[in-house]
Amino acid sequence: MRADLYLAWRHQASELAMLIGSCLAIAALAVICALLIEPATDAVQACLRENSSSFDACKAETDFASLLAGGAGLLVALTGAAPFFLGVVLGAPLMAREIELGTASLAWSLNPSRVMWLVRRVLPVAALVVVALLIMGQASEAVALAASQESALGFQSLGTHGPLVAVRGLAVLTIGVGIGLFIGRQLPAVLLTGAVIGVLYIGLTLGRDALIRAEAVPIPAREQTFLDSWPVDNAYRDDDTGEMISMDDWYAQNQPDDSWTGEDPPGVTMMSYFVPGERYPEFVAREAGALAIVTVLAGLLAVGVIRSRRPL
Amino acid sequence: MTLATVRLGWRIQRSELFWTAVIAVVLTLGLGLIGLALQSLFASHQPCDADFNGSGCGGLSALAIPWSQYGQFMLGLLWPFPVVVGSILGVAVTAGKLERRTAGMSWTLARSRRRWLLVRLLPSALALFMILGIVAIGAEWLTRSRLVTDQPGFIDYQLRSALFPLRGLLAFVTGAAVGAIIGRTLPALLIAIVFGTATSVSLLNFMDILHTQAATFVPIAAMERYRYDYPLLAASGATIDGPGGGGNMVVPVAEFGYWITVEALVLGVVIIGVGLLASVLVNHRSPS
Amino acid sequence: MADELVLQAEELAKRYSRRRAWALREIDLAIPRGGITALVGPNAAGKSTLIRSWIGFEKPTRGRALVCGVDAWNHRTRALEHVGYVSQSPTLYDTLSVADHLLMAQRARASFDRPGAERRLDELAVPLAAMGNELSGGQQAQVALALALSSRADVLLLDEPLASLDPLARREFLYLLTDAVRTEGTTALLSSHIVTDIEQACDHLIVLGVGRVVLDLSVDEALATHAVALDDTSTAPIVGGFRDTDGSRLTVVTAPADAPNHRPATLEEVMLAHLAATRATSLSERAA
Repeated sequence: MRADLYLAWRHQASELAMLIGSCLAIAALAVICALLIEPATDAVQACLRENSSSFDACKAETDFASLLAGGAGLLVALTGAAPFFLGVVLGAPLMAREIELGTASLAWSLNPSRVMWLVRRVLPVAALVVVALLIMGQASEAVALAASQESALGFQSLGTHGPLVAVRGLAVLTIGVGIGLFIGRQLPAVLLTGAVIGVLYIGLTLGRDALIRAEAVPIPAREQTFLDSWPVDNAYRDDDTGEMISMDDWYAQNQPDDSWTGEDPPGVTMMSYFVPGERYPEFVAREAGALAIVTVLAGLLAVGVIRSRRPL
Repeated sequence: MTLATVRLGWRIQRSELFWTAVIAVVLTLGLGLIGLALQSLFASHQPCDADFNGSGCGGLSALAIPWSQYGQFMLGLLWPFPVVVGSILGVAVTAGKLERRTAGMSWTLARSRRRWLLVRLLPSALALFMILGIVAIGAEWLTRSRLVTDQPGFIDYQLRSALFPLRGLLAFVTGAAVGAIIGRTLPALLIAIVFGTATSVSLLNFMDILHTQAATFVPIAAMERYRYDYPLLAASGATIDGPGGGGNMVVPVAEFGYWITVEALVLGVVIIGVGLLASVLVNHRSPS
Repeated sequence: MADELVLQAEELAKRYSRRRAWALREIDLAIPRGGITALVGPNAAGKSTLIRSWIGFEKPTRGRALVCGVDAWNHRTRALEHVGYVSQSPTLYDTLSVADHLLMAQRARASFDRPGAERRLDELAVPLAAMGNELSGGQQAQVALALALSSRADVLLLDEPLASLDPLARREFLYLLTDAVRTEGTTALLSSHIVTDIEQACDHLIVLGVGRVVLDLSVDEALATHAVALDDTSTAPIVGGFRDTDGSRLTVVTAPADAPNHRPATLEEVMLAHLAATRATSLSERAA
């Protein structure tokens, strides 16, 4: 395995150095940001107390805290995008390059089993990507928690922190490898993988949203926390009978003249349908499971393609 | 530049152009469908504006917010799109040839390397401009639907106007220049994307400065809720403090066309400059 | 007996697409263990396609290609364990050094003789630390040959491996090849246009033309059964004719080498006659 890791590094040293290095740099920045956020927030509050809540007097502290908050948001967003970028840019050209430049002939003639060769070529890169994304995911979790000042993260930050980032990256990488083998040219493979991942992401997002919609339960709107999923629908609950009335039906029956003021009309309570935050880990586990299946299928596709492909 | 030359340029890059076009069509369809969904939701819940103010808004927010989020996600995808596809197409012209070792043959057959580069770049540039133009139209449709207005003003204007395909062209010539230096496809692509992004951000900041200098003060009361008639400040949407507070320094939407033209000219000058740089680099590059 | 035959083709035919001509047609060959077989033919005769069929790179349209009795396409892994291969234009990895290539081969084949490969390359002054793209074409070919020879395969398939080598390097390689055949019982199939190399090293000759086998004999038999007609009175079947370097026309016929009014044909003349015949066949097929 060490020899395979060494050879994998030699094959793509500059790309791996740039990308993995960037991931680790982002993770390091996220950790630094996470460590600085709380002291910065405390400094703002202390300054405001000392200066009678004058923001002008505390501009430096406020600006620094805002900078850290903005930076935290950017780092978390980058972590959310990282698995897709890494997977596409490293996965698609990995095999496509071999075919495009003609080195597949040499490799496939030396290696009796193309599948074993594929595993030896891809596994070290996949391992590097997973490790880098795991580190990024943990760092992102730390900075997101620090920025939100909560004890846990919920549906609002799904896919931008934790081990799910690495699982996504592995799935994208494997899909890229399969497409690269099929296309046999680096840049078209990058484009097609990007397109396929985009469509898959949209499809999986719509599927996840449909699942959330199906499993959402009515909870008083005022009781929603930032851990919960976004509301998929609203309704009024009759305070006396407990009966649920859709917003459209209620407005059709009551025809209020005024614009909606934000206050519940008398006798009813606004309910929002959403999935409570306690179920967030369950949804993450489901997505990880679905991605694991996608990864296995993509791997099998790659194996099927390499067995029958001409090296050109 | 004959038709045969254009055909040759297409054949050499048809795979990259084809998949770029496919992605662009998918993106545009997505933008269109989301815009259609939002239009239909707002139309069936009148009166109600984009801020969910109005007696018809009851229940709408829960339905429209997810679609609005999808729309914002799609628009968010558009920001890196011209840089990424432009870089891919540009890198393919130079680094792709150098890596596959076909540059030697091409450059000995061509009358001059500069002419070779021009002949290779122009057809792809035209195709890229048209492809990105279609996406920009989709972005315009979605923005109008999302904001429930026919005059979105400066909101996300970089995604909606001719600036969108021009940014793609800038990334395209940058990719060609970087590819001529690096000579390897994937490292060149990564560096080209970084340079392309840096150039885009720099231009954004430059336009910020120009907008700031041209901005005039409008009190908040005068802006009311028609803030889409008065655009967001500068290219990045940053607010600039005005004299005496209680208002904003804004660039009037009436000057929208003027500022698009200015930015397009700036982009054009930079594109030509980077293109010339690419031709110098290709001229001096060893093909092996 | 099947286990004495290391390379077989059974009604092997290959067509790349319906629009294109057949690259191989009804090839039936049986090459026994031991010895060096020359594979000769004009350009586009199907030599590379035939060799690639035995290495599992080409799926036969009809028939099959066997290596040591194993179907090379359907049981590629087992078949490849017996094969060492050098392609027509060996492509090394630009980002790997020569030593890295040896490491790669060592990981691929348990039987790979790394010290032997290093010794060979050292004798040829090919630096182990040099990257793939820093080597000349000849040096790259030497590395590819070293990888194939050191794999200790039962069968070596060599697709014009000597083309990029200087005369001394070619002589040395042929010595290594014949030594491997003699001491280790390796079987080699050598595709080459260089007659002196064939004369020096090969004991069997296969001539391919227009995708068909036109000659399949030992070198001794070929020399014994072909003669050059000295005048127009020969009634022996004509193999083919060609212009000699002094402009005179030579006609090679199928006759005993010592037949009256004939002289023994050289191996080169036998090959040239068959190549001329296949060219004539190809032209008439195309005209039809």
